[in-house]
This record gives sequence, structure tokens and C-alpha cells, in this order.
Amino acid sequence: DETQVSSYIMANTLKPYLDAVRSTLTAAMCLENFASQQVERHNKPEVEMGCDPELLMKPVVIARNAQERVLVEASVNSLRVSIGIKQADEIEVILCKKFVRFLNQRAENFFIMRRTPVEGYSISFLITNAHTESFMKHKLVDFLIQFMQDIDKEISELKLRVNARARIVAQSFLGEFQ
Amino acid sequence: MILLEYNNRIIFETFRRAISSEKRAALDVTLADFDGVQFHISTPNPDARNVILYSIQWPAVEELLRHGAQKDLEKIYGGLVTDPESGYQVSLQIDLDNLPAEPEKLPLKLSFLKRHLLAAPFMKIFGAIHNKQNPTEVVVIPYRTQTDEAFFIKPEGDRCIVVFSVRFSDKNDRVLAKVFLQEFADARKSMRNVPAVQYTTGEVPGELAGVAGVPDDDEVGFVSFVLFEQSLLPKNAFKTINLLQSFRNYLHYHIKCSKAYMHERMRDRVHTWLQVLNRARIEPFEKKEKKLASGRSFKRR
Repeated sequence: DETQVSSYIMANTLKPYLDAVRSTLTAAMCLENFASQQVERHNKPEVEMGCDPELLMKPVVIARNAQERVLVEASVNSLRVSIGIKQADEIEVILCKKFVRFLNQRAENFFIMRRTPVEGYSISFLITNAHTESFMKHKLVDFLIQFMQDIDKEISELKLRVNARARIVAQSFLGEFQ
Repeated sequence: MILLEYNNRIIFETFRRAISSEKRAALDVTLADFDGVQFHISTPNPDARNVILYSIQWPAVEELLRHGAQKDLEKIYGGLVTDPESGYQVSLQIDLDNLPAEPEKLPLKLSFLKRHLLAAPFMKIFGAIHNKQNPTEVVVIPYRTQTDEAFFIKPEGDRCIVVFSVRFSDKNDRVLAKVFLQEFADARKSMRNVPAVQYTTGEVPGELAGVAGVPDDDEVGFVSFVLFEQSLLPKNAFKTINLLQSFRNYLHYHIKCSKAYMHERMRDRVHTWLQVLNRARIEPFEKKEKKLASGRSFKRR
């Protein structure tokens, strides 16, 4: 059955996808303090500045499919992780939009979250050497992987709930005509 | 509470209290209802506090009066109809010392004023269909002028088609509404004896071809209810009209409930994630007390 096979394949690609993201992040999260070469006495995340090519690593994209992908841009003192979230239909698109907006407004609480996503992605994180000094690196990677799984699950769950609610609402109303 | 009430509870309570109390208190209540309706309940004469003036202000009233609401008003409220208060379209006068028969039913009847006005064109057309008069006129009632939403009543043989124009200025709302209205359309697959519902966007539905005043822009969609003979019978007409007149409010109420639920879930999820992130900390986030060289100590906030 075609749908069974495709969902088997999808389920089959999830673990390798997340494993690839995990190992890339672990490798990229080697950050150290680096004073800015552009402005005296300033300390900026070099991945955001993008001025000095010798400080930047080659960006890596890990793609599960055209929509679900992760962009990892590393530099000497900072790491930018951008995630593309799966949005299969119209309702998932708006649910994702709502959720990301909700998160972005609370980015401060998340420390490592960026307020705006990088162009072409749903949400971005910026991790600096300051973060790796106060957080455990492997736990930060754990957090990001769990985030990726949870957000997909949450959007699916929200969609199911909206559909279920719509059905009850419609049937309650029309049932009154009977 | 899934279904909304069809009457106005504030008006019901105000009159119930006024009729059942011994004292004659001075009243001056202005309240708003759905669809831009405003009510005013007052005792205009401070010396004659037994006389209560009850008025409604609604742009749609003029159109409704033309389509049979004037006659219905007189039939339902009889001698209570009086000249409209200035600034209002319809007024009723209630003399607490001279109440009509069955005064305990009066508060409920009065709280249904908006519904009875809106029901008039429906009653007229349903009656005409039932009596096999073959009406053909499409009645347009712009019940919500502030958002340019109207409903269109089109008799068709022994059935009646009621089309609502629904407008959502926010694109996200439109997608949510589509999910809800699609379920309305699909409900017929599992339910018998219910009206057939169809939701169209982007173009004027076939039933309204040639009708003047039908909006055509991106923000508007159309929900058509095909009411079969069963729903139009005099014994069912009251309930049918109750449901139709509250449809828009019902839809918007449940869309808002949906959004509130989503918000709640997102907040829960954020809380869980923050807990995970907190576990990633090397040192627990604590207010540290520091000592200065001079011997003073302060807390770092």
C-alpha cells in the first residue's frame, strides 16, 4: 500500500536526519571567546557579523526533504542554527506561523533563541561562547533535537484538535435542525 | 456550553427584576448586543417610574420593517409598540402598573426583540413557501453594516436557500474558518435530515448570480444553507430561525475558543521547554551575594 510505504520511509528517515543534525551540532559547538577585529574592545558574535571570512566555517545544510531542513552556520565564537519546520497544508502553515510568533516574542526567556528566523527558515537559534560557558554543550544539543521533534508533534496535535473541535461544532449546530 | 443563547440575558434580567420588585426604581441602561445593535431601557419620566421605555437601534431595522417586521411587532408585542425614541428605530413602552396578560412571560418575550425583528423576513418567506405561493424574490438583509456582512434568503420551490456572507480581514482567520465551515459541509455525510451546507470562497455562489449588492472581494466567503421542507414547517420555523440568526456569532465564538485553546497549549509547551533548558545549566541560576573591598556586601539581582 503506497501510503504505508511512504510513511514507513518517512519514519525511517527521521532517525538518520536527527542523528546527522546531532553530530553536526556537536562538532560545530566548539566556541571560544574572540574579541572583535573590526571594533576595538567590542565582542560580537562573528556568525552574525559575517565580515571576516577567516573566522567563519562553511555553512552546512542537513535536509530531510525540501521543506524539513537545518542550516548550521558556525564561526569562531558563535553558532547559528536555523530550522525549517514541516508544513504540509494551509492549516499547518498558519499553526506554524502562530507558534513561531509566540516563541519569538519570548525569545529572551530562551536565551539561545533568535527573534527573527534566517531567510528561508522557520526559526533560528544563536549560540555564543557565553552560552557554552554557562550551559552544558551536550545538553544544548539535546534541547535542540528535542525541540525539533516536539514542535512537529505539537503542530500535528493542534491540527487534530482544531479538526475535532470543528466537527463537534458543526454537528452540534446542525443536529438542532433534526 | 456549545450553543449560544438566542435571547439577550441582560434585558431579560433587567425586566424580570423591574417587574417582580415592589419598588419602582429609576432606570437608564444602555447596552450593546451582537451585530452593532444598541438597546436603551429607561424611565424617561422621573415622576412616573412605572413607565419603562425600551428601544433598539440597529441599521438593519429599516430593511426588516419593510419585510414584515412591522406587522410581526404588532402581532407579538401588541399594545406595547409606541413611537420610536429619538435616535432609535423601534420602541416599546411597558407600564408596570398596567401589565398585559401573563406578566411572568413578559421578560423573556422582551429579551427576544432583536430575534423577532430579524425573524420577520424568514417567517414571511417560509409562510409563502408552505402555502405554495411560489415566491421568487431574493431578500437581502445587511444585518452587519460595520463589516459588510449580509444574508440572502432565496426561496426555491419547496425549499429555501439562505446564504451568509462571512468576512475575515485576517488571512489566518480565513484558514481557520475554512476548517470549521468545511466540517459543516461534510456533516451531511453522517447526519440525516439536516440542511445541506456549502462553503465557497473567491467567487459569488451560483444561487446569488444576478443579485445586487453581493460583495466580491478576497476577504469574503459564502455559506449556503439549503433548508428542506421539514425545517420550514410552521412547527419547526421558530427553531430554524433561532439557529440561523445566531449562526455567525456561533461560528466566531468557537473560532475564538479554538484560538484560546491553542494559546494555552503553546504556553504549556514553552514551559516544558524552558524546564529542559534549565537542566542544561552548569550552575543553578541563583542570586549571588558578593563582597566589596570596603567590606560592604550587596546582592546581585
